[in-house]
Amino acid sequence: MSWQGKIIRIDLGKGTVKSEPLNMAWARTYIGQRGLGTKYLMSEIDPACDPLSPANKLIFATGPLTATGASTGGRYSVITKGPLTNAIACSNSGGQFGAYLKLAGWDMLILEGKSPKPVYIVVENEDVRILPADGFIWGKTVWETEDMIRAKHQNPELRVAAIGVAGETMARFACIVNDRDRAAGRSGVGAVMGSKNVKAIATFGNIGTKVADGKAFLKATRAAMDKLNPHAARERLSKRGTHSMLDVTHAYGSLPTNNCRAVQFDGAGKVNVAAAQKPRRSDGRASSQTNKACFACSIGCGRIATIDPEHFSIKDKPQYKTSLGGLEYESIYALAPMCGVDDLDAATYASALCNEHGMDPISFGASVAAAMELFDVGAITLKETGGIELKFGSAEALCWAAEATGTAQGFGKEIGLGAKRLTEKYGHPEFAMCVKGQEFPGYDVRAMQGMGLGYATSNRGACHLRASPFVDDFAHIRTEGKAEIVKKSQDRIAAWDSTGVCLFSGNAWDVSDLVAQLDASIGGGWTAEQFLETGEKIWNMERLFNMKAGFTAADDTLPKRMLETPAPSGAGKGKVNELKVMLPEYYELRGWTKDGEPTTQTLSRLGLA
Amino acid sequence: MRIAVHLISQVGKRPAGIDDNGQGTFEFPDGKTLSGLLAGLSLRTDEPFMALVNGQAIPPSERDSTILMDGDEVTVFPPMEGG
Repeated sequence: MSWQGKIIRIDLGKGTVKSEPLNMAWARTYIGQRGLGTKYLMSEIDPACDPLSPANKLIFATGPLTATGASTGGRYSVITKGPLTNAIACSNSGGQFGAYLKLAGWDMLILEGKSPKPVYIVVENEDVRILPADGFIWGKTVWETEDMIRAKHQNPELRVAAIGVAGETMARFACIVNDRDRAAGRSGVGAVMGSKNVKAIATFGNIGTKVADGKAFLKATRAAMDKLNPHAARERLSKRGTHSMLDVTHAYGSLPTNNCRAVQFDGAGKVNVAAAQKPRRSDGRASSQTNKACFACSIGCGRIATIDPEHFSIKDKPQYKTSLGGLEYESIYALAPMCGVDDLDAATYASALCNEHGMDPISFGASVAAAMELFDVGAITLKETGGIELKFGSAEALCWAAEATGTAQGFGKEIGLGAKRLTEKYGHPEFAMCVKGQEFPGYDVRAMQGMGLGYATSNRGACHLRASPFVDDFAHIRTEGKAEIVKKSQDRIAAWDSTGVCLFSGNAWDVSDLVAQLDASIGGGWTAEQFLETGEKIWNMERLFNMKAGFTAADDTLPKRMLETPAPSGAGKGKVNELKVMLPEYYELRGWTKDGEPTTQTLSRLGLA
Repeated sequence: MRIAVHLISQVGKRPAGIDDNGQGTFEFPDGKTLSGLLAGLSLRTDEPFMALVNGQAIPPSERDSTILMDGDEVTVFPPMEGG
């Protein structure tokens, strides 16, 4: 079986490291990664705890297909209670780190308590050590941290997941960055790591993985690869990256612009893929240089970029005049249209700083946009910003904000509160484009009704990766059928996120393609029906966590702007999101009461009673 | 009649009459349907594609009955997922 069968448990308060067997009954039920990590968290912490207190735990969980050779099988998740939302947090990342944790012989790593002093953790196969970070990497950037750990341990193969100063100072949307530009990005998981005084985890492994049925596994993974590799979506993601979504949402009228005051961006042509791939005058190079793949991935959606050497953002900063992790759709949306900025190099710079200092670019960009709206109406002034004209469209303000927030300086600390807390503090909570305290991804939900239901019901707050209503949303601006599409896709994704492969494989694979690989790797006679029911179980378990944390149906909502202010243009012109129509049907399909609570029958059916 | 076509984020062979920016203008006799126009573009069939006429979403079920008019703008794109 492709579980390693053991986990690392680190008590940071006592400074102890323990190897313990994986709970195999839970593994067979919840698969791995998101499902299994949530089961452990649910069983070990009080969901009502303060997420930044020692009572919270931070779980790094791989899936059974992680590091097996299955296409895109390099994923891991970080599961905790999120400080941005106070809800369940589960952030999924690629790169190499998760695969190396698995190759070192571990399915999961659990951090509990709080270290009295800053530390980092090194996992080299069976050897797991807690080491002092003070006077070494504490206070350093993510990139410096990786370089310094590798140099100190004389192992260039160490894969490092680290926080920056944003995480150390517990910015609410601080993330954990691995392999320099891959991130467990959402919900503030980096702030939890900072609250525990853990700077980084470095992994190296060469123990390998085993599967239950080698011949069946090779047959299933080869068939899946043959289906994935020639697919149009794979080719698009490889050649253009997710960035190419920007032209779609702009054309459709679902591109959040100027903090969702608009849904189409006049400057889209200056920040789209075509602009990124066009050679510039200064040095003849394009912003987007090439693509980059995670472990065992044949898609390669990641980008490598350069900033114009003459751009104001990097004047006298030679460290940025090199190849950097490039823009993805969610980062370009948040750092450009959402802030009204039509400067591609400024967005690339701000994105690089998000990686370097460990910030979620979605929440960062949307929080800057909220601050810009506060500035626009006079709720904050030059006094609060320290003299910075925080205006929509200001590339200079965006770049300043990235540095100030990433390093917790001045008004940057306020931006680091996230849009919800920031706008509440300055008297305009209606400017927070958030659900459950988490900022919007790049889809305005007046033209995309199903996505609105997906945001509102997402267990980790506004998220584009928890439901997949894209096909229907781009065809029908209506409410009919959305509840079923959202519910079914939420269940499918919850299970998919538990296996160790990337969601983007789902562009080409059906559930049966993934289940064939999963069954060959872990055995047990898995079926598509069982897989989807497992996803439903995971979704309900997350819901139960949130209920115990204090969430109710009142939190399944959207910002007033989405519910009351009609979209000003695009395919959804004149529409608002009709959440109130879709939500009762959604609850009914889920087997929940009208107050959004799973019924006893539903919990019994799913084995959660 | 003249119809402006904009293909967004298409991969594979570029259809005749479409430029590097994914744009082209086509002449058709009156009565051309949206489905007829799309069929002529020979788009890849291993993923669905969405269509707008003058910025309005046209569901696949209405493509046969959507008669294009002179000056219409047709936008075609895949239902991508972000990341």
